[in-house]
Amino acid sequence: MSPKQLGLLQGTLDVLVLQALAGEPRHGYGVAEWIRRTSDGTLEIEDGALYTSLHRMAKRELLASTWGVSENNRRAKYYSLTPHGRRELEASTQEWALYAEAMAKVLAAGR
Amino acid sequence: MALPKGIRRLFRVGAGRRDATKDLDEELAFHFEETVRALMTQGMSEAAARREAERRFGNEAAYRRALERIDGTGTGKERGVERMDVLRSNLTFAFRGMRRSPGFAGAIITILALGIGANAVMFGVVDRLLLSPPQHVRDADRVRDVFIERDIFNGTRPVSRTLTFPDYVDLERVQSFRSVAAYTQAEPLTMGRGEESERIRMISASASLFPLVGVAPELGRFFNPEDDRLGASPVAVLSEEFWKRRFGSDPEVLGHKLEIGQGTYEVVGVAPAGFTGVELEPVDVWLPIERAQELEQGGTQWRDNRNWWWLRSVVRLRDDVSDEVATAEATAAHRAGRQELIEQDRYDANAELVLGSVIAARGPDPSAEARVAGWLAGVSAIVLLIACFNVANLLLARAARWRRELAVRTALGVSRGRLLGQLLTESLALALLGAVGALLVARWGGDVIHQVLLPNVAFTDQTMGRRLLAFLAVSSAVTALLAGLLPALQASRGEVADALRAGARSISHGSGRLRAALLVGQATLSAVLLIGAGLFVLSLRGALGTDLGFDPERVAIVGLEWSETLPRDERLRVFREVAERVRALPQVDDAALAMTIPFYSSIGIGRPRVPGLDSFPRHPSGGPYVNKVSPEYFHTMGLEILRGRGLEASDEAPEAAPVAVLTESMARAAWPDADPLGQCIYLDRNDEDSPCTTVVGIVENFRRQELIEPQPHFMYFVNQGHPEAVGPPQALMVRTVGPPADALAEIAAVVRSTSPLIRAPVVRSLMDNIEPQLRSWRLGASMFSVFGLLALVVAALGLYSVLAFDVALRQSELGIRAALGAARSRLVSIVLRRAVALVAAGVVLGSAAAVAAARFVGALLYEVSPTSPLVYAGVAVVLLMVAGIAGSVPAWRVARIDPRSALQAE
Repeated sequence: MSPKQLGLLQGTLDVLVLQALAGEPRHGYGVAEWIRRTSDGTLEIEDGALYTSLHRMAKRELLASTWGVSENNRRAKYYSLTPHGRRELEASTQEWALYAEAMAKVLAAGR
Repeated sequence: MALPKGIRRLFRVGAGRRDATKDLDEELAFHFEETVRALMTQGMSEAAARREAERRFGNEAAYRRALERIDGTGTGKERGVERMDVLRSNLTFAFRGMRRSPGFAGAIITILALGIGANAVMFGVVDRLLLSPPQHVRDADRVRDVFIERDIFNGTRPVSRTLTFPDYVDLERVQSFRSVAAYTQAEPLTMGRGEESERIRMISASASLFPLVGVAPELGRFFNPEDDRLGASPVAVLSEEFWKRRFGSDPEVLGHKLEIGQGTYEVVGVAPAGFTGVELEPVDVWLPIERAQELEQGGTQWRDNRNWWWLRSVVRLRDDVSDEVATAEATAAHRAGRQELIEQDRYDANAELVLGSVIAARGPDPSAEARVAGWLAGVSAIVLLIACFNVANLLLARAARWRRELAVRTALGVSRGRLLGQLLTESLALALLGAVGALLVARWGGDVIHQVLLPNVAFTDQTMGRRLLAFLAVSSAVTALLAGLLPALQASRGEVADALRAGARSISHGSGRLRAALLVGQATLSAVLLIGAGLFVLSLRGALGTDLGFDPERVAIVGLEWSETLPRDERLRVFREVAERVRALPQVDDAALAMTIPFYSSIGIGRPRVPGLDSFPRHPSGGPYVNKVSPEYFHTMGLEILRGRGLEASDEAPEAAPVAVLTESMARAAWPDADPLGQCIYLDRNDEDSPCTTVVGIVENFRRQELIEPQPHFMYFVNQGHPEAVGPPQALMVRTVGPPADALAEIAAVVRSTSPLIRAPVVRSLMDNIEPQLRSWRLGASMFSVFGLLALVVAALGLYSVLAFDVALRQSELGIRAALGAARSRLVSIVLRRAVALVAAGVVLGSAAAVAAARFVGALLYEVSPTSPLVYAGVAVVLLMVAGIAGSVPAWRVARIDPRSALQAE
C-alpha cells in the first residue's frame, strides 16, 4: 500500500503530529501535551494512536528519533522532522487550507 | 514509585528481547510516568492519575502489538495472538452493528435466507437428477441402462427404454455384461380387499437386480432366482418407507402374507431406505418379475412374444470392457434374437442397442423432470444473484451512513486491510445467519417443491444432510464475498477519507452510481423472471383451456379388480350392474361402459377397408383406434354428435347389426367426397368375410393421448354386440354433477357393494390422466411465479431500504433545500423519480434480455408468443408500481422533513 492510499483521515492525525514537531523536537508525551493544549482539549486522541503515528512516520522517514534527556532528567525518545517530513507538512497544510476555504465558501453560499 | 499495572505487564515480557523492543518499553514507560506525574500535579490521587493515564492511552496491549509490528519486532506467536484479537474485534464490530440496527440485519438475513434457501432446494433437485446415480447403486459408472433405437416404420427412429422379455433374455448371452436385470416401471396395484384395500406402487424385477446394483437388504432377504420362476411360491420385498408407513417398521412383518393384485405374496425382506432400483420413482413393493407377470397377465404371451414391449433392462459391464465393445456385442445379440422377424421384414434390421448412464439426466432420453431441473437451478441462481446485489446495496448504503465511525477508526490507525476485514467479517456473519435461515427455507420449501413439482422422484436421500450443509457453507461464503467485497472496497477507499470533510451529509457519487447500478441489476433480473412467469402462466392457461372435445373436469373413471378370473360375459354383466347403481347416485349425471380410456389406453385393430378407397390413409399417430362403448358414452363424455345418431339401446341387443360412429376426421379420411352416413366399412381389411359395419353417426374430434395433437386422430365407436371388437369393457366412465373429486368416495362405496366378484374398485378422475401432460407448464408457471415473486419482494425490499437510507443521508441537504423554499412536492418527486427511473431502466434491460432468451423457451410455451406484448407490458406495470410503493414511504418522510431539526442534526 503506498502512503497516498492510506487516506486523508489517517493522515489527519499525522498532520497534527507533524505540526507539533514543526517548531522543535519533542518526545511522545510532549507531542500529546502539545496537541491537547493547542486544541484546548477538543481533540480526543488516544495516546496509543499517537505513538502509532509517530512510529509509522519514523518508519517512513518523515521523522527522525534520538534518545535524549527530558526536562526532569529522565531518558526519553525525541522526535524531529526530517526535510522529507517538513515537505509533507507543507503539502498537507496547503491542502487543508484549500479545503477550509472551499468549506467556508459553501457555507456562506448556503445562508 | 509503584508502576501502573499496564507498565508492569509491559516489563514482564522482557526476557530475550531485542534492543528495539527495549526501546519501546522504555519509551512507553516514560510516557506513563510523565502522564501520571502531570496529572498528580493537577491534584489527582496517584491511583486516579494512573487510571486516567491508562484510559488516555487506549487498548495498551493492542497498540503495543501494532507498534511492534510497525517497528518489525513482533514475534510469530504474538502475531498469531494479534490475528485472534483482530478476528474477535471484527466479530464484536459485526455483532455490535447488528444490535444497533436489528431491522437492517433482519432484512439482510431474510433476503439471504430466501436466496440461499431457494438454491439449497435446487441443489437437492439438481444433485438427485443431474449429478448423482440413484441411491445404493454401487460403482454406478459400470452400470448402464439399455435403450433401443429403431425405425418404427413411420419415418421416425425413436430411442426407447422398453424391451420385450425375449429381448431381455438375449442380453444374458452378452459376454461384455457381468450381469443383466429386468424390471417394470412403478405401476399402481391394489393391495388388500374391500374397505381395507389401498393402491400401492409396485415394481416387478428380476432377482438379478439386487446383486447387480450391489444393495443389501435392511431386513430379511431379497428374492433369489428360485423365487423368480413360473409357479414359485410368491414372495415380496417391501420398501423401507412403505414398511415404516404401513407396518410401523415392525420386524415381525417377515412371513406376513399380502394380497397384491391377483396374487398373495409372502414378505421375505425390506429394502434399505431410499432404494428405488435404478430409477428415481418412489416404490412400495418389489415383486419377482416372472411370477408377478404370471399372476397378473396369465398366459405366456408376455414371456414369448417379441411384440409385447413391457420391461426395462439394466446391465453391469465387466471391468475391462469399453462401452463401444459392449454396445456392439449387445446390438449383435439383439439382432440375432430377432433374425426371423428381420428376414420377414417385420423388424428394423438396423436396430441398435444404446447403453446410457444410470444418472437420470445423462441417458440418451432424459426425462422431462431432468430437463426442468436444469432450469430450476438457473432460475434459483438468478434469485441468489438478486439477493447478493441487494445485500451489497444495503451494505453500501449502510457503509455510507457509517462513514463517521469508519473515519474515526481510520484516524485511530486502523489500516485499510483491517477495515476490509471488518466489513467482510460482518457480511460473513450475516451470510452465516442467513444460511441458518436458509436451512429452514430448504426444509420447508424442499418438501413443497418435491411434492408439488416433482412427484415422480423419490427424495429420501440419506446423504443429503451432509452435502446440503456443505453446499450451504460454500454458498453462504461465496455470497458473503460477493455481497461484502464491493462495499468493503468502496468503504475502505477514498470514501472514508471524504467523510471527515463532508460528515455523513453528502452521498459520494461513486457509491451512489454503484448502488444505482446494483438496483438496476436487480430490477433487470426481476423483470426477466416475471416475464418468464407471465409466459408460463399464459401457456398453462392455454393448455388448461384447450378444447379436448370431451369434458375432463366432469368425468370420473371406474376400473374394477376382480376376486377371481371371470369370463367376458360375466364381466360385462357386473359392469352393467355397476353402471346402473352408479347412475342412480345423486352426485352422478350419467355413466357408460368403455373399452379404452382417453389419455390412458387405445386399441388399434389395423386399417379398415372402405369400398372405393384403395387403402385407408395412414395417420402419424397410428390407428384408426376402436372403442366399444355403451349408448350413454357420448353424453357422459360431453362429446357432440355432429351428424346422424349416436349408439342406441337397440344396438346393445345380442343380435343387433354392427354399427359405428366415426370421428369427423376419420369420416373425412374415408369418404372425402361422399356422405359417410349409411356407408359400409370393413374393420378387417384382410378378411373377405368381415361384416359390413354401417356408419350411423359422426362425432366431433377429440384428443386421444396428447394434449397437443397436430392432426386429429382417427377413431370409431362400435356397439357392444359388434363381432370384430371382442373383449369385455375395461372401465365405467362416469359424468358427475359437481367436480369428480367430491364424488369419488361415494362411487367407490357403491361399486364395492355391488358384487362380491369385485375385489376392489379403482376410482379416479379423468383429469388425473391428463395432469402429467400439464406438468411441464405447471412446473414452469409455478416455478417462475414463485421465484419471480420472491425476486420482486427482495428487489422491492432492496429498493425501499436503499431509498430510505438515501433520504436519511440526504436529510440535511433536503432540509436545506426545504429551508431555501423548495416546494415539498418537488422534493418528493426527486425521491420518486429516482425510484421509478432505476426500475424503468431495469424493465428495459430485462425485456431485452427476455427477448434474447425467448428462442430458448419458445418451444416450451403453448399458444403464447415468447415476445407477447401483454406479458411485457404487464411486467412493466407491476414493476413500476412496486417502484412507486417502495419509494412512497421514503418520499413521505421527505415531505415531513423539518428544515430546522434537519440542520441541527448535523
